[in-house]
Amino acid sequence: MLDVNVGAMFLTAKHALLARSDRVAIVNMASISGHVASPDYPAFVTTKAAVESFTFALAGEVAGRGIRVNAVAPGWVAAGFTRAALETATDSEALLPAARRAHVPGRMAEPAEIAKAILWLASPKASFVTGETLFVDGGLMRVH
Amino acid sequence: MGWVAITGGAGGIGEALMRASCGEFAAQGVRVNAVSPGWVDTGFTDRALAALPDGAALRATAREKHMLGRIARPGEVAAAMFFLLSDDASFITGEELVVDGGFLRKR
Repeated sequence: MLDVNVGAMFLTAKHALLARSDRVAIVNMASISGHVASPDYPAFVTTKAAVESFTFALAGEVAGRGIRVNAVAPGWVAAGFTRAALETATDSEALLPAARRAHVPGRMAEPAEIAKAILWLASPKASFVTGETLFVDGGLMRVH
Repeated sequence: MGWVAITGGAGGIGEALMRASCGEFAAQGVRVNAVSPGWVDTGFTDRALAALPDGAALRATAREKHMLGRIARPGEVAAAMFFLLSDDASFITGEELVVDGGFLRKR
């Protein structure tokens, strides 16, 4: 999990920076899991916290070249990955409605809603945003 | 589609209000977010600096305190507000979007 969530992020950033283009902006995939205890997923939580640390560390590293580095932290996303994870969970029938209710809109994010945040951060419209983690979590982190 | 509301402004009160109201109006489908800028190149900043004896030096120091080596243009803060207000941010609520050129994260 470290190799995929942290190693792959590092290598992707490395090769983006080696491109020597003046139009580079990096957006890494973090998660609310970097901030909350997820039982049975300590490795995932650890790697997602690392994504955010690497994001602001690299932002400071490359800001002089005018390159911005940010992260997006989704909550639950209605994607195949989530479905697969829920199917293997022992209490999957109770878990799905609970997961929906955990968000202010009472549903999970559509994948496109995460993509739109990534696109915005990558665009010149976010020209003064760097070292930031943008939560696209339907308020999950704020509401109890 | 519900309303979209926004609280602009840096500082604790704006953020606390945003946090409180994002739960408060959730049932109506209202999203509530905040934008927290760093230094912004506005008349407000000019006047504040002009009132200080070391205003020019302070402005130079302020630039260095942002990772990007400059302060924000007003349009860059507005762009973040427009994004949060738009449907592109349909799953973003209760969030504080920091538009500070890396100010908070800079050593």
